Amino acid sequence: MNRKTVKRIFIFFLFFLPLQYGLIGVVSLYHSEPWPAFIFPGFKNVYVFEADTYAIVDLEFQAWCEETEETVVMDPLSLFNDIPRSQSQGFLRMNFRDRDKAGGFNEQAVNWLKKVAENRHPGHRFTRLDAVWTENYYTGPSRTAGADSTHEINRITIPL
Amino acid sequence: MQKSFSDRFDSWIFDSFHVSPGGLALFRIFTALMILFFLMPAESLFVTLGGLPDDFYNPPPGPMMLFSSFPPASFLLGVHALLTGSLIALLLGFYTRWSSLLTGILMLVLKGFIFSIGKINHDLLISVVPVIFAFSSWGRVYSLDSWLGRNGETAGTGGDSPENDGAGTELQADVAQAEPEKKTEQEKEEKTESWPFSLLALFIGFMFFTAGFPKILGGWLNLSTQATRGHFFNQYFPKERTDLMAEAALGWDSMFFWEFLDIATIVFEVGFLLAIFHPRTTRLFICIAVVFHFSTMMIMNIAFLFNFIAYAAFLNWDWVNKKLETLLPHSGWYPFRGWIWGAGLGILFSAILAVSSQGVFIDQSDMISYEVIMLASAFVLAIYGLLSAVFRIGLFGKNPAESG
Repeated sequence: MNRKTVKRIFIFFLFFLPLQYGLIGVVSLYHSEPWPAFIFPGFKNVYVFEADTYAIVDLEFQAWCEETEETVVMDPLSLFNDIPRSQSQGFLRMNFRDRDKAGGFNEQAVNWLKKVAENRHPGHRFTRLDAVWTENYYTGPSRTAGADSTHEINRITIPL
Repeated sequence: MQKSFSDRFDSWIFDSFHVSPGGLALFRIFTALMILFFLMPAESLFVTLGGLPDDFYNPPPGPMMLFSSFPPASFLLGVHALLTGSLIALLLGFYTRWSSLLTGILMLVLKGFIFSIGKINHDLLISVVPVIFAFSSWGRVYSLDSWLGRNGETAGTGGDSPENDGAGTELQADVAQAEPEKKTEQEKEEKTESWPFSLLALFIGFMFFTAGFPKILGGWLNLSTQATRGHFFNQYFPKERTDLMAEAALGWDSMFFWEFLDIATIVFEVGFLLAIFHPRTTRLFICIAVVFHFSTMMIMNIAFLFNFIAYAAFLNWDWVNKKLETLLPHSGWYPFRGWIWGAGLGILFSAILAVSSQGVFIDQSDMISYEVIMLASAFVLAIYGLLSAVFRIGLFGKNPAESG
């Protein structure tokens, strides 16, 4: 590669990098973040709810077993422990936050969810799976013991 | 006489970093082994992906949208096997340019499907490094290409000096002359492509800028918010990242400490974009990046080992090569220095994996022990690097051709 070509490559990237960054900003407004792209994660959130209180969104699953009339609470990291934890938040957000998406799962997806839940809890026959999104508040020194209050912000029911 | 903008631009591209083919080859061997030992996606993940229902295929906007579901596990495992093969070829310096390109592309393919779970991991540099260094001279020595006399495979252009403009075949012509061995060694040592380092620095600097800029918009500089602490809680509680110093950090109540982390993070990330225009500040910021990743690992249990092959490019590989020459001074050893370096690294990495299999340092989080060991080692090196960058000595010291 001669020097002229190399210089052209550099000039291209000096224009391309900010352009793609702008484009990513626009696309991300309507969809998820594009890939591949020359960016690192922004971690824009500050999570501050009010002075000295942090609000962290969390998810748990509640599976209903009709035979035993029992609700089994499942931690998503254990339920989907085959999904790498670095990917898990995205997996949960993309699939279980939107009512239309989760409520419209096809038979293949529903059967898969039922199988995964029942494999984690042998002996149960689940007929419903609720994805329960909560906002947990951590305030003052007591936060070391965990959330001091919790507010349910969304519940999505998936019939199994 | 004052340099024109064009001269300064040329000087930044072509003269900022100079590494001999020997040094570059050591970096090539390091890169291939790092990926093979520590950075390959686990095969078990492909079995999981292959078994996911179509409704769970959530590709990010981009080329992965061309697919409508995850491919079968056998396909992904096949790509994984090809990637392993191309990495072995890269390690040995066999068809080096092609194996470098193939490594980057296959890694992208696998990552594309992994990220279609619904989350991007921002580890693009692991694919970028082999692709841009395919156009360096990192396969010219300590390689099968060199042993087989196929220097054209990786010779590049010898484009560091203006008089070599487009003259990529000069080296090959010299090889064919009388007393080829001696002359080849000399020529090989003289001509390298160093612009990939400047391009990599541009990518790293820009990517860090894209990490810092949204933080400013998001309110990180607001003195009433301690965003780093918020992110720490988000890692600690929902993601159960509670190892190393995380539990201790839970009790750190100093507002000044957390606000300092907010401001320092932004200054470092945004400042990186300016640092790349000077080789010594680039190295300085690379060292700070390692310290940044190390502290993130200690508190938030996020080890981002992928970036470290890009950071490692800015080590003074000539210094390592010179040390190797001192250890193996006889010219008869010349072709074997690379193999000995590779074998040494292989033994070291195997030992780290053996220690890692005992699960040391890790209890709850999803980190792997070897990530802790590698980042801690890099941290020690970075502290040494910060000192040597200031005093211009040793591993991070000034290269002969460094313009700054």
